[in-house]
Amino acid sequence: MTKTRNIAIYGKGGIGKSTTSSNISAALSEQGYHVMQIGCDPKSDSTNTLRGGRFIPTVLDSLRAGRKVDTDEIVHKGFNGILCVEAGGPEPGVGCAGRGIITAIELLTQRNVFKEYSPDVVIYDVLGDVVCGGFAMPIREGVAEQVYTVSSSDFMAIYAANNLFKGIKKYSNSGGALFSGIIANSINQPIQKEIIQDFAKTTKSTIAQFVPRSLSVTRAELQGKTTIEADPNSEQAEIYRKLAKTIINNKKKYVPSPLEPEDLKAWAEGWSDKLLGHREEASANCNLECVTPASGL
Amino acid sequence: MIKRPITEHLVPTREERLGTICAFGGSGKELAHCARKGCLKRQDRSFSQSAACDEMMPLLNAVMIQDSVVVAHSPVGCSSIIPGMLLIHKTERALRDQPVDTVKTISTNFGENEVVYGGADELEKAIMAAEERYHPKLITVISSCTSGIIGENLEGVINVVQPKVKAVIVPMQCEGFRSGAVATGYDTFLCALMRAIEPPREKKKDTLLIVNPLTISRVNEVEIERILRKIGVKVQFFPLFTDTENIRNASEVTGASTLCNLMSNLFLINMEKKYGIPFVEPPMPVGAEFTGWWLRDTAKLFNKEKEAEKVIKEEEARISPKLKELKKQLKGKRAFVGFNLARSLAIQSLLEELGMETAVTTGLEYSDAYGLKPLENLNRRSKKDFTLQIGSFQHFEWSNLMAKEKPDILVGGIEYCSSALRQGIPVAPVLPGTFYAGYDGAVTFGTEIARAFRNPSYAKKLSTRVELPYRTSWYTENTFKYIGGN
Repeated sequence: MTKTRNIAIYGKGGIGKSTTSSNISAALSEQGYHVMQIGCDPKSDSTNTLRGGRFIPTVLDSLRAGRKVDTDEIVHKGFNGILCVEAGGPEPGVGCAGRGIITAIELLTQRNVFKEYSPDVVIYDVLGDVVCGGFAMPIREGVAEQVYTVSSSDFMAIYAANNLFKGIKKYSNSGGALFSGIIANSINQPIQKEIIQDFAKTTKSTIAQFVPRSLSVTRAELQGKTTIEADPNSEQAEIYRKLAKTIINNKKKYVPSPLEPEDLKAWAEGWSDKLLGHREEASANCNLECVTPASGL
Repeated sequence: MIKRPITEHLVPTREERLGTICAFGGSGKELAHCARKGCLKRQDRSFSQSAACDEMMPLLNAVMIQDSVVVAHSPVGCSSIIPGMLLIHKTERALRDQPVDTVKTISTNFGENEVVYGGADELEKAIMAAEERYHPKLITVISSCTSGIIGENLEGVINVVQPKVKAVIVPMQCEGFRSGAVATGYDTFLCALMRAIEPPREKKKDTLLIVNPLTISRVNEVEIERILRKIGVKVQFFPLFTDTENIRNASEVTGASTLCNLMSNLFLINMEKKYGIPFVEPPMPVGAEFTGWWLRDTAKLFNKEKEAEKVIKEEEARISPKLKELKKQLKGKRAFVGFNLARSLAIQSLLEELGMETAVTTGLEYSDAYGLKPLENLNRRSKKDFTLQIGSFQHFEWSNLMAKEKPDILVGGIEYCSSALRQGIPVAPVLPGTFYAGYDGAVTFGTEIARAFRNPSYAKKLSTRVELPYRTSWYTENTFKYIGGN
């Protein structure tokens, strides 16, 4: 590979972006790619499962120390040689996390980190639904080229995805990154699949892959590992490998059509009527696969 | 429509890139020693009277380009320094036979609404207003802290607006909180201008691009042109007081040099990277020794070392009798030198050639890149050590040093003059139109200094009628008591 592929993965907090990103990174590195994963979340735990559950010093922490920082203090090797970087940021309730992401990405560029390590793929794991200019940094011109969003069929996750579409649309006419697909996460029931498929259709977007909720993911995370590392022969690991392949082969990028608030509300209401009729059937079909981790353990 | 290259939207800070420091108090020898030993860091002031802002240099410099409008994308107060530039603007344009109109600037006056909702719309309006009102050839958009904190995508806005206007739009992203070094702003300004430079259509033979700082008056440029003509080199000054055509074809020159090596460093590096233009960064050509140094380095770009040696010999012989005459009048006089460091060291070199001694030299910032060689050169040459102060506009330290060192004269920028005059110290200021560069400049400036000594009564009388700005106790305090994190 000659040119670095820069991919940003967005999604609502807790939806499984870091899990998905880390498993994609792990799968890509298994497939022989030199991968760098950059966590853009002040929580700084994006790359934990690539490093045995351990936190790494963040870019902003190093900067805060006020001395000259070497690149090897901010770039740490994880599973299978994956380069792990955490942007870092302020504690909850203080400072400006958005500005933190800007500062961290600027610093990585100025330190020639990308030239020095020359990864084949850079994955930006970004918090949230593009709440401010800082969180939009990874989709500006010259940073990532392709964006994916991790979303469940949950309405709030879809709302976040819709916001991301708005951000992409805004930046698209100034050379920013374009959209490449929804990674539909925690999809176990047909109805969930239908909801997210319908959202994709309505917003003229595509679904990169469906990823079911699986206990093997939870088990792996508790060991501080990705599923690829902890349970390489599992069905779930195979799903992530397939997802990684899809992402690396998918060169398609486009501007999705976000829904306006009223349209989004109308769309959601339409589904809520259908769901009410569907509830009984869903409970009857429920098996271990759809039991939430908290109740399952 | 030419697709403008994306420039690095944010230059690294000087502190980050060159290890620049903005606080030091000691002697010339101590600074050089510390620089070699690596103990200059962690010297911040615990009290600071003022500081530089990244936005300052882009604003001051951008208004000097012909047929340009500055759009200040900031709360209006951030660009309040622009009217202060009218003196230089008018004088220097008149000296170059350019129309003497006023500086053209529009502020987006970034307010609460822009902070919350983003200032993209206001910025677009301001750019369109600049285009419609003035039909400029160049529009520089100078952003600010507020715009930077909310993460505005300046480059993105400009990509959208550019097709709608004839002028070339050049964004300069300035975030004042990033750096304390004035020179970070120079890097921002010069590197952003690379967006208006186009790939060469032809190569100009024996043509030298010279980066000219704001306070190098036209009179000094003429002297540099004269000297270079003697070795057969043509000059293209960049970018101040020139037009967009001159900026566009800056890539066509044979080599590049600078009249201020503090200012031009990153720009010259980037021009070499992008267009393969070789460059040198000698210290300012002031006084015989530094002018010789400058000419020798610059001549190397054209393989004209022999010609340079001949010119140096001729010129030195020509001015030597005049310098001897001046030396008689100035011998042993002690000077306080007040500029930013690149010029301070060069002027200090000239003063010492005129037989004077240096009591104090000051600079706004220091980095080895431009400071160490000239400083070590002066240290080797000077019999006596001198006090060296580094700080961005710390008037209280200057006043204290003037009171303690009691120099015979202040040779410096206008910002130093009032402090000296209040203490009865005569001044030889460097203003727009002051001639000091090269060989003829050495003689002219030497004569100016001698004249300042002949009649010091303005300073003497003023000092008896005004009160000093600080409490009496401050003038005997340790000047550098706030440096080093105390």
